[in-house]
Amino acid sequence: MSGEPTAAGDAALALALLAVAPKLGGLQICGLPGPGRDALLARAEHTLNDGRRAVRLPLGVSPERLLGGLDLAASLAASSANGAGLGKPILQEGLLTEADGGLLLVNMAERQSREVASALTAALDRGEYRLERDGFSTTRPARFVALALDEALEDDEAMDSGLTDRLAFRTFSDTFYELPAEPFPEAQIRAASEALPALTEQVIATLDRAALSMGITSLRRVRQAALAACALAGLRRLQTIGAEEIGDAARLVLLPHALTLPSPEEPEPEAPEPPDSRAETDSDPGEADREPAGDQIPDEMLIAAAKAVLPLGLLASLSSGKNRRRAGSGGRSRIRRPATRGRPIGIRRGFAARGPRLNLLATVKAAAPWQRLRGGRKGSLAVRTDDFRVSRFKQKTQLTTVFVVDASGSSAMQRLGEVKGAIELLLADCYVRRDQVALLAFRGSAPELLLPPTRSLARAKRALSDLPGGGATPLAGALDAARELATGLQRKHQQPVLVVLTDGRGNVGRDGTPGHPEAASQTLDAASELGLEGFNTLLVDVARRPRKEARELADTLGARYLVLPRVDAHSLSAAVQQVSTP
Amino acid sequence: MKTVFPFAAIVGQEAMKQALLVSAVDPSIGGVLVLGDRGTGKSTTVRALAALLPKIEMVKGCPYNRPPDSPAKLYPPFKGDKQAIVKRPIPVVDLPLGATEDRVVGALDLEAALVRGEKSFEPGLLAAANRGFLYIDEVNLLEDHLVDLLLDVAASGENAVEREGLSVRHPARFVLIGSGNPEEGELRPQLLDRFGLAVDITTPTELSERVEVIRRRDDFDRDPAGFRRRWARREGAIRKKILTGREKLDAVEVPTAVLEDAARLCLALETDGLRGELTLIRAARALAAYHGRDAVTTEDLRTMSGAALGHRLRRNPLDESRALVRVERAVEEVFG
Repeated sequence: MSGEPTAAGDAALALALLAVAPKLGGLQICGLPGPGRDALLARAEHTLNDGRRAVRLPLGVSPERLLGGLDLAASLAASSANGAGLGKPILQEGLLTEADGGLLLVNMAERQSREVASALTAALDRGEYRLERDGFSTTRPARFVALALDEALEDDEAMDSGLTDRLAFRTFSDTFYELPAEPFPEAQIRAASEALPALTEQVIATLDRAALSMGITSLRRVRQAALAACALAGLRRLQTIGAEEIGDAARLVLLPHALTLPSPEEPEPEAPEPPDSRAETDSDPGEADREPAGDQIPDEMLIAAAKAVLPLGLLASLSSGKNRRRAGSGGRSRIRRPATRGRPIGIRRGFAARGPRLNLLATVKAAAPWQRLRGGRKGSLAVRTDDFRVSRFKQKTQLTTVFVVDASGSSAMQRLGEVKGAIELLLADCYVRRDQVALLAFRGSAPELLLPPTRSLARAKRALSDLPGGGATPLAGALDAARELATGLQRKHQQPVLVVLTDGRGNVGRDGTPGHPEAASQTLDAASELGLEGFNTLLVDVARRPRKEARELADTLGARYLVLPRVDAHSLSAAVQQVSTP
Repeated sequence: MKTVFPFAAIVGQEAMKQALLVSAVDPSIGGVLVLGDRGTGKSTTVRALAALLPKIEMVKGCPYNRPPDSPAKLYPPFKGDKQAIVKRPIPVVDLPLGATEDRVVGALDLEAALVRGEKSFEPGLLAAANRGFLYIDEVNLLEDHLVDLLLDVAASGENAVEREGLSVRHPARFVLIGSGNPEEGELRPQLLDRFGLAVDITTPTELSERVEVIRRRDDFDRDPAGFRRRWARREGAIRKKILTGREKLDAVEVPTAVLEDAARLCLALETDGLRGELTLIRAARALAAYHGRDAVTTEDLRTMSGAALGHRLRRNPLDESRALVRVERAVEEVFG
């Protein structure tokens, strides 16, 4: 490998490194389906899965399928075959075990539930997992490399941070169309995986400093970078890890997760420009003229690498130090199936392959009285579809309170402090009830989702205290944004409650044009569309002297209307409580 | 059994290690909750503990780990009981996510019921954890009804199963260890103060410490067995201290002055009820026993105060001022 780094080249290199050291966990592939992603998947199946198709983990996979569980069909078939009643329960392996020794492809990784992500991280950490289900108590093997397809477009869709943390590499597949040729022949990969060069303290310290300079504190990430440097040296048939391996490892593992980049204005450390004295890959490079591992990776080298391999948008947010998007343990979407978990509340007739859990005992009980009629042989059980019973579960609906806060000049400017205080008290209520909260603020030209739905109070509080005030009132846009958010929540089977705090005087059009002559009527249009959705809504008029606009808005929204000449936290809290309980 | 990273080789994280060790000395302290960032080695430390713990005597083959000296009628009978006594390491049982309720509490043994027409009880994880530890990673992800069930059993020390025509009771005394990441959604306050001790752990910030963490991990990954051998002596020393601590525990004296100190500290912090005070004294006593001392000192109280009291302070959930800081301040004021 020589020449300038490219995103495609790095992705190919990452796959080779995963083949050498599967402990690197895997690769997060950010981007929509496209030629780059297809090329990457094909290469991965070739390099990491002996050309076989990877095991796919679809969205909404059931715990039975993921971890393994009772194979009902096989268990019943076994019993009728040997004629000795229901025989030994037969285990159907889960997808995690099917992927053992190969490649696991996580579809729509950003939308996978916390439970799925946690099972994945546990397996990635240990190469095996405990199965305690349906009477089985066993350890199942699960050594695989994971490819996570992350199609997140919005801030509130970040992939589970625990899973992100386990995958050493991240690539942006929209930035390339094809991969370069395999960087290393297969034999070299095999040879490298058998003997990795030793890791020195200096190498670790250098990578750790680089990580800290990019705002990465996780030690797991540094460990991955160190392992990647080892694997790189192994692939390049080197005895020791040199400056180049350290630089490459930092670029491959650390850079895509940087929260900030070292600013180029800072006085440069006197690190010499690494001379490009590398010979071709397959000729053995002389150890003597190689750059020894230094203590520091030169900042400008990192910045140049960042320019070469990161997409422009991410780069821009990095240099302004704002790559918080994927940094936090962001809210994640959950798709909820009809309750298949929770507190069991009884059984009912019926069975579907992917639906609720079969209650074996109840099924057998239902079949028992008919055995003589059905002419079952002694010792075997004749079960008909009609006998199937499934467990019913009760699961609480997650309530999400969405605060839509007017932070514009006309309204809350002087009262923003009071409003913040009231919201904080509401947050404390939500905390006790384990509700989620979201915060949508609007001022200037557009609404902004300050806080995606979360249960973390620390985050909610931070978002609130960072909320500035002043500017125009994009009320129409805010109502549109609130509708989008709330319907999204509803799709995830959560119950949204909207609390709109405003004086009702929007002066920005739906398209974001300030001073739009139609602003007022467009606001009402947006309100009636939101009203049609029928969410429980509370409109709190925060004007000093309430006028008719807010009242009218509340009527259009079908919202409860509350005038708060003084925002008194307790009455506000009581009102929210009232709208939350239908 | 996979080779696990040795407990003795874990760099830093003193508060967590201390909380686990005193719980191993005195299981009645009431469990440990570990809250902290990702990648700080929460799971590694708990699994390391499992390999460190000394052996205890139990009836051979008993799925409930029955101690030899206990009245047999407390425990359900099991097949193949030869009344033999064996020594086994104190169990550390993992409660994996996705575990079903029947595997946790135990259930009707379906195979026996269907094939042989026998109604027998198949013990679950609570039975396996009896007299040992039960570990739940990401406790904030566990389903609510399972959490309630676990807390109920942990508090009563007994697992009562009334389902599927079975009526079984068996002792289930275990130290509950939970870990979680507070950024991922908060724990219910009710859950928080059910734990005896709670510790916050953070990523080390000192470069030398960080390098050491990775270096040792790398050494271990390259040669797990060899690495364990190199640490075996230090590992053995800790094990011995736990063992002597367990034997010594009842003999450790708590001077009246220390009791008063504990009471004054709890008063100053306005902790609810007596539970905090009791836990503090127990933890301090276990610490003294672990170090082989005959009496508890105020210094022991000081060491354990953060873990025993930090999570019991009455606080506004939005108050970000760290509870530990408040405990430290109160300790300074009261103990000088």
